[in-house]
Amino acid sequence: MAPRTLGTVVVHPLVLLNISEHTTRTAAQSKAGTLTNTPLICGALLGRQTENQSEVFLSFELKFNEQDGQSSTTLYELDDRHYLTRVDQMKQIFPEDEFIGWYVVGSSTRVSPAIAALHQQIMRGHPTALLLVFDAAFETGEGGASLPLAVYETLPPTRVERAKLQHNHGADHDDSTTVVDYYVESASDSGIPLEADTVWASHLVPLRIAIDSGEAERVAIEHVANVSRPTTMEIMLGEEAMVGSRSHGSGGDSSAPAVLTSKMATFLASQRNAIDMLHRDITVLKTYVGEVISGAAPFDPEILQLVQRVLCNRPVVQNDELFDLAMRQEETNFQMTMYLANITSTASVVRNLSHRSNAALSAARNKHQAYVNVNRESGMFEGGMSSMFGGGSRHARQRGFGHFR
Amino acid sequence: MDAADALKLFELDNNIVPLSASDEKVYCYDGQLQSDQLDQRPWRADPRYYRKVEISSIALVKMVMHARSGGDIEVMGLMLGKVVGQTMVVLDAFALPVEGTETRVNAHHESYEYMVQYLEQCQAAGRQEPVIGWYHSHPGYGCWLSGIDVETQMLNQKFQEPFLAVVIDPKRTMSAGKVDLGAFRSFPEGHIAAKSQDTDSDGFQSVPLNKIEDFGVHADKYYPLDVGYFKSSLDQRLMERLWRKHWVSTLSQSPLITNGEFTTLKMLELAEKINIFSKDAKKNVSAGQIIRESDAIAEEVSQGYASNMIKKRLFGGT
Repeated sequence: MAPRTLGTVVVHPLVLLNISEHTTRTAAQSKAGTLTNTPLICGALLGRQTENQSEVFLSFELKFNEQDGQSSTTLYELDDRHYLTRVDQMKQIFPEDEFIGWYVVGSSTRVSPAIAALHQQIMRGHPTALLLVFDAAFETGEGGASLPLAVYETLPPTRVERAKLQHNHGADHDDSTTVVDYYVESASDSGIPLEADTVWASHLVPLRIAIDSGEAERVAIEHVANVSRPTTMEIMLGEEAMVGSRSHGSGGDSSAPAVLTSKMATFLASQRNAIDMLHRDITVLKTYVGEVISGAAPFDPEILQLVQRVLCNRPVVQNDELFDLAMRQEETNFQMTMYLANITSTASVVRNLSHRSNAALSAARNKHQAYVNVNRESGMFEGGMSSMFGGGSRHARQRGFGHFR
Repeated sequence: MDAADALKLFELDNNIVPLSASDEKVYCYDGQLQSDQLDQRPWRADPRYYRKVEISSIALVKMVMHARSGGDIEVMGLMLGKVVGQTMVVLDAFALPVEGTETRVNAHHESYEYMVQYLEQCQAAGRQEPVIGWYHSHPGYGCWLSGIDVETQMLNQKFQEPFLAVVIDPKRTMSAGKVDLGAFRSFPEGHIAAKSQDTDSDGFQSVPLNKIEDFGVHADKYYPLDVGYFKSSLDQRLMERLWRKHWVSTLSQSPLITNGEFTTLKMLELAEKINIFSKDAKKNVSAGQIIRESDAIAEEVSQGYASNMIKKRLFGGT
């Protein structure tokens, strides 16, 4: 039987974050001892399916009831009522998304016997359900480039030797490099008699995983990646510590951020990160090509052709008149904007200055009122000054406002 | 199949998920601790008791996506979370099947039923946090509370404290490529806010002219909270992996091009405001507002220009 793959499954980052949150929360609760039963972190995947592509947009937690006794074959039983209510709720808001599979969190991306047993239950209602296994124990760092998950497609059941089933149930596959075929036994009502030592079972075929995000999702994810901070003790302690150091008084300035970070700095940092990535990837290519030349790595024309293509892309535009013109225009626009912004703030500074000097001058005039009155004869001085005050302030106000554009 | 063996594979206690100590605290709900804090009703004595909001990664992504899915229509939903000292922590959010028009977002009867049912299901699935507030979208006109929003918020704060209002502008979020979000709490009825420079120095918002009256009339009935965002250590590790697929878009986009139209719009809007201001300084436009808006535009443009220069250096040959 030739393994047939359905192609690609597109997973949205929202789903990954949802699984991550579910995992973190369950783990935290389990550590704190507030969980009543054994944590089983799984949920439903909602999305759309076309002939050769599935796309997972959403997910929500599933509830499994723990079976007592050792008699039953499974320890957990899916809570159907809970599941149906939630599907119904999701449908009200996201009417286009269907149940297409489920996720489970484990310590690797392999299908363990426990997962197979759960999948068997899901298959009763959804014979072609996808199975996403999320590896919560994945390592970070240079080595891991792929995402810590695997998605399996359930093929229609075929007659399979029982031995194959044993294969994925019995033996332990600590050696993760070997490709293992997973089979899940399925109930068959076809009535076709089975030969000895064969069962009806569905083959689980791993799918290629792609990550895609909608535009709003992309912005939000970038925010999480670059702006969100890892949890700190500060969040838990609340702000008691900080409040002490803060002036109470007016209650006015309460929203001043504790750490001032400029938007420009964040922006440049994200650009720098991206360039770092580019650099790292180019280094990988360089090392590979170097190794091929020195004979340390095998010569693979396909890979080298890809490398070639990347290199061809590099100087896309060089000495192109139109491009230079466009760049110059953008530069002019930029400088014009800066110029306008500067004029605006300068106008405001001038306005403030005129307000203040007016206030100061009129205060001074009041103070010297007596003196001015005594010297009424001189007239010129008083009149001159007051016209300067009055006229000046009117003048300044008009000028300041009028040119405030 | 051996049942005991199956169970073993699901044990999480043996540190499959490496959690930092702070993750444990943040993601674990302690009902006793919560009610202890709430019993004191600290917001009675100090209307500005809650000063800060911390939003989890999943809540943020859900809210932004939901706001965006509404297009020009306002959408709303609820947030789940808890309070820690003077901080409100938002851990999750969910959408409600209500669509508002313009500035009229109001929860109806059927959405109330939906809410109750949703909460039940959440609790059954192990999410214990109660509702801590509501969010809704202001497509294109910035994050602030309209008169109706203030009323809704006051009502909620009266009956289900602690309650928080979050507003998201999906249009500005998209055009600026940055999440545009504000968090607010209203003052109790009859409270007179210390006016002064308050509305000036607090959360800066550029409000379109046709909304500015609504904004101005109600601006002193609520106050903005400082918004922070957090992610768990698992999120962090996941993001590192995702970033490997994501960085290309950071380099390949030009903010000058993607935001061009929006920047022009903002400039026109600003020019109009300056016009109004120069005619009558007593109107709803203040000098500080104008300066901040013009500075914000300048900053965005200079970011775009900086990225252009970087790319020119990188890819532009000599």
